[in-house]
Amino acid sequence: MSEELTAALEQAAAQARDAALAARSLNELEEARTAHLGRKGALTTLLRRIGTLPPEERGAFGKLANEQKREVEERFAAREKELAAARLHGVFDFDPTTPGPRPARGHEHPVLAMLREIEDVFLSMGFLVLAGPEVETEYYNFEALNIPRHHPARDLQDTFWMETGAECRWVLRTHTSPMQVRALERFGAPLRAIVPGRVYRNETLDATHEATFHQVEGLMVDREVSVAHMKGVMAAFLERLFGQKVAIRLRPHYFPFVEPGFELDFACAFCGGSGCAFCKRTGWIEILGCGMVHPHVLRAGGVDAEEFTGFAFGVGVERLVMMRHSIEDIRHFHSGSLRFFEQF
Amino acid sequence: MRLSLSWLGDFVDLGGRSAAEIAEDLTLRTALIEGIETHGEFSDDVVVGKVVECRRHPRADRLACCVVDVGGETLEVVCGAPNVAAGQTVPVAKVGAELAGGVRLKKTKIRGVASHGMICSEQELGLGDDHEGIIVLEEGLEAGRPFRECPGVVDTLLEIDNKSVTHRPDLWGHEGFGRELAAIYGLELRVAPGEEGLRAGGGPLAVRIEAPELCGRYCALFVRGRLAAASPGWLRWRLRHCGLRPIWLAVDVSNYVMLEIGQPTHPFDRRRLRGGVIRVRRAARDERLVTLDGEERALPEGACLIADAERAVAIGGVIGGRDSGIDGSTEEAVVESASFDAVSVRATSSALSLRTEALARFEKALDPALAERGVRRYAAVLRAAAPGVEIAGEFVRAGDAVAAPVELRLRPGRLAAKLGVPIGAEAMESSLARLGFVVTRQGEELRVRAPSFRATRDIRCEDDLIEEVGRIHGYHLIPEALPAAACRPVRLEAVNEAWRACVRLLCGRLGFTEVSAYPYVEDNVLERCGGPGDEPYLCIRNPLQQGARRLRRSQVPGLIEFVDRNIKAVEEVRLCECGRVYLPAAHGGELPDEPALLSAAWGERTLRRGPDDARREGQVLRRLKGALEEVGEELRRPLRFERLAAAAPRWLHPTRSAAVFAGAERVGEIGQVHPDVAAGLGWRGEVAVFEISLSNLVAAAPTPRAYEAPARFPPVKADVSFLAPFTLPYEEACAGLRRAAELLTRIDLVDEYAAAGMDSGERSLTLRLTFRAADRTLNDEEVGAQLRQARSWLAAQGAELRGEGG
Ligand SMILES: [Zn+2]
Repeated sequence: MSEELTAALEQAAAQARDAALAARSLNELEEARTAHLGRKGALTTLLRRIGTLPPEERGAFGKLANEQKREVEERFAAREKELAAARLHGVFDFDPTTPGPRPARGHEHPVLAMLREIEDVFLSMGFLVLAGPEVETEYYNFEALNIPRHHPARDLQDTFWMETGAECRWVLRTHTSPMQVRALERFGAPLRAIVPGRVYRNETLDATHEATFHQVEGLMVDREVSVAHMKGVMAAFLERLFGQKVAIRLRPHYFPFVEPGFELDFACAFCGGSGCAFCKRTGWIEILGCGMVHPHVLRAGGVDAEEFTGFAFGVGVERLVMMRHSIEDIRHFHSGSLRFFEQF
Repeated sequence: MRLSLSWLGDFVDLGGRSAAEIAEDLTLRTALIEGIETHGEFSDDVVVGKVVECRRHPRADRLACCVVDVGGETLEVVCGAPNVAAGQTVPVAKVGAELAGGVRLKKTKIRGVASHGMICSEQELGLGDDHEGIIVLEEGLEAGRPFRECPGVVDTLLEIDNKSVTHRPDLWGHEGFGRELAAIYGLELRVAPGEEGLRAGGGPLAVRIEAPELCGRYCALFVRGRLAAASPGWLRWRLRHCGLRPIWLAVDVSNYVMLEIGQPTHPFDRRRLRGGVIRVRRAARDERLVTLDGEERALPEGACLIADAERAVAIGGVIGGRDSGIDGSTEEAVVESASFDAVSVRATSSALSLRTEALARFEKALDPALAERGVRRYAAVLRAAAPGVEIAGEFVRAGDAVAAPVELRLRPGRLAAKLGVPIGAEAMESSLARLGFVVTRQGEELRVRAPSFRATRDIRCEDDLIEEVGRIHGYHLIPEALPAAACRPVRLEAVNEAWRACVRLLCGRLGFTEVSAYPYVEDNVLERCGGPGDEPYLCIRNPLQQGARRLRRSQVPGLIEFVDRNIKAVEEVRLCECGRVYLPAAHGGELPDEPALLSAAWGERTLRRGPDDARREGQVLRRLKGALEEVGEELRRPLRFERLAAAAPRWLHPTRSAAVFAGAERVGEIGQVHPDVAAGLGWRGEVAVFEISLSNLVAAAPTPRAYEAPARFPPVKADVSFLAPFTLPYEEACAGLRRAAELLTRIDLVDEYAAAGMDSGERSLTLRLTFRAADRTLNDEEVGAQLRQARSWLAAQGAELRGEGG
């Protein structure tokens, strides 16, 4: 056996082991691996010289060479494990605060989303969700609701009238209340239903007035439905809407189609009722109109006003959305502007 | 409407109750009080002064240099008011006084003359809007005395929300609110006393009611004296606090009576009434009258007029005429207090577009009995205000209208059922009695007669009585209770459910933003989208703007408008709207059809380039079609697309468009926006739109989802690319391939490409074919044979195959 070759082999193996130890990164280790164990590496080149030895020496040299090579490889493997472990715990290449790439997201119209939310609350209480015509007859919009032609209450609702022939007088409905009568005609009593929808007032637009907006009408007619029940259902509705229990109060108010009629206030959430700018120092914020269905309306709907009583309410949806998000101008809702809608 | 707390004190003893407490109780039981204001709490620097001297300013005709005695000292004050004169008693703000708006008064020089204070108008003191003239106080007030100590200056006012009393003719004066407070607090009511000595009889003028259906009663009172004098301070202060400007005695008393008992009265100058008669008649055609506000008005034919023997002198219940009213020289007046028909005065007022304080009351249907109370109260107030004025002992009374008596029963059981709480019979009786109702018991029930001032319109049925009892009891004391209602499952209507599913999909995964446009579409928006066309539109008779009369038949023009508003700011816009359109019914008299539509627009500002760097047109439309296919999938109503033949909406591209079908029913259209529309808006990229009727779509039954067990053997996939004419539609190609290769189980589109300017009518298609057998793994020979069959079928259709093997 060539002693010279053996010595060279041992020396090359020792150098390779040292190089593995000296590598400070996986990259350096990989370079060292190529330099020593690669196809043109020092160790590999020596091993290839096995062919120059006489055949009788080849066995012993081969054995030695394999031992040396395995040792070197083990050393490299061990070093790689060490370096990989160090890298896993010690190298930061991810910034958790950089935003991730996101697919484009759509946006629901905040008013319509609120409408759906209200629908869900009343669905959960067993109310039907109905739709009615927006182009409505004068009869359903006014007369059936106890608002005859020259009644001062018509002043409160500046009306869009349709161009029609002389035979009929149509309006763009000024409220969702006509559906009280239509629903009673269709379903009779007992009945629980809400009617979400668009309504129209011939009003000049400004930050708080729209000519086109949304209301949700509600109606519950049954035997012995009382003001107490109305208060209970309204309180339950507002609790779901606000996510917490809120104090409510009724104030007498006049709507021709209910008797008695009320405006419903809830305790101002900003000041807790002690009075602030938001509630105009009263501690209360008006949120909806309601009342006990007028016998005239029950009869117009073909329901026996002696046997049945009921309550009705109407709530403006835009105002709820504006309160929830502190939106300053009602005209945004019809702007079609992505800069507005992208926030929801 | 403002209520003076001191005035309310004339009717009830409010004791030590605070304004806030009273406002709260009225709000909870009668009408919304919107605010509380205290007037007249001025500092010591605002004092009573006497104008000793008043000269014209040497350098300004409109200004006066006054010397004012403010008690112990005199001040030189420059004053710009036209009504200032020597001898007047006036409020004077001294230097340092705080004026309305928090301004502190400083010594100034006005056109070279020093001014050491200010003679105040209402506006400067925050008492009202009148800044035309200074406030002139009654004589006899001591100079130098703090102004706020003068009788009547300080008062607390409650602001009533007029909307909450539209149904209550009795609440348009202080007395009515006094009655409410008496009922709320259980106090005695002192009604406003009238001159009881007055007798109905004759007078210097006759009254003839020629239109009794418009005027049920007319009373005329005759007074003589210094009627244009200034009213006494107490009267003037009450008017001022309530927002009316004191003018002349006869007019001030009229306003006072109106604010007190709610009955409007109107004084005429006796000299101006000709012919010894007052006629109440209907307006003839083309009659005109110059009213108190100086406007010459054409009177609506048939309106209720007050006339003398020759001409109209007032519009009944609305406004007086200028030439017959009180002026500075009036010494003899005829005071009208009448009962006018509510419907007719309202019609007249809206025909004239004129609202007045009198109208606001008459249109609520005042008690006819107030007509006579009006003259009696006028006489009493006038006597107290000006003892020297002579009041005739007889007044003329014409007409005998009274409110039809309203008698109702009130069943405690009905009341308890409706309110949800029982209320004792005594409490019911006492509440009603204090409100003026006459109550008798009849067994379990109460018989209730409404007072005449509630009987004209307001109280009509038992439920109205329940309201009276309920509100005095206090609605806030009724507990909250949930109804015990039968358990019935409910679900949304099909259209609503479909709408929600679409919004969830489009606004979620597909990245659309939901918008909402006005249903009345502007003409210029329609014009930009190719014009309104020949279809009939429903129109608004009184639109907000003349150019926005039409109710939309499609949501697309609105979406195009919204795309245009956004596309200048962003690279890509995806919008959707789910709303209604309004289609006139085929038969007159029937309400229009209002189907629910789903519409969407997808726009890109610039044309994107493909991987081969060629301009790839029509890609936006393809993406939008994919979104619409997803909608069909979501609703489980697969959609089919056919080339649009006729009846294409004007805003759609003639060839890059399609009709959308669900089953056999056409439900809408999809397409790229017409190049003319896009060019008109200056768009450089592409915009595609679709619109489908959800109402029609959900009318078809949904396709049930069919389940198939997952395949057990692996598929083999291979792509084929070929150039094929558009006359070989994709769907036909797929069907043919399936027939040609029986193991072909799935075809996916990898790419479709028609290069710009390539007018050959051909496009390049790459399809991924999936072969699979249910019972074995396919080997290479089998797949090769299938592929060859597929390719040869394509070649037979005239397709030019590309890639390996040709
Ligand atoms: Zn508050």
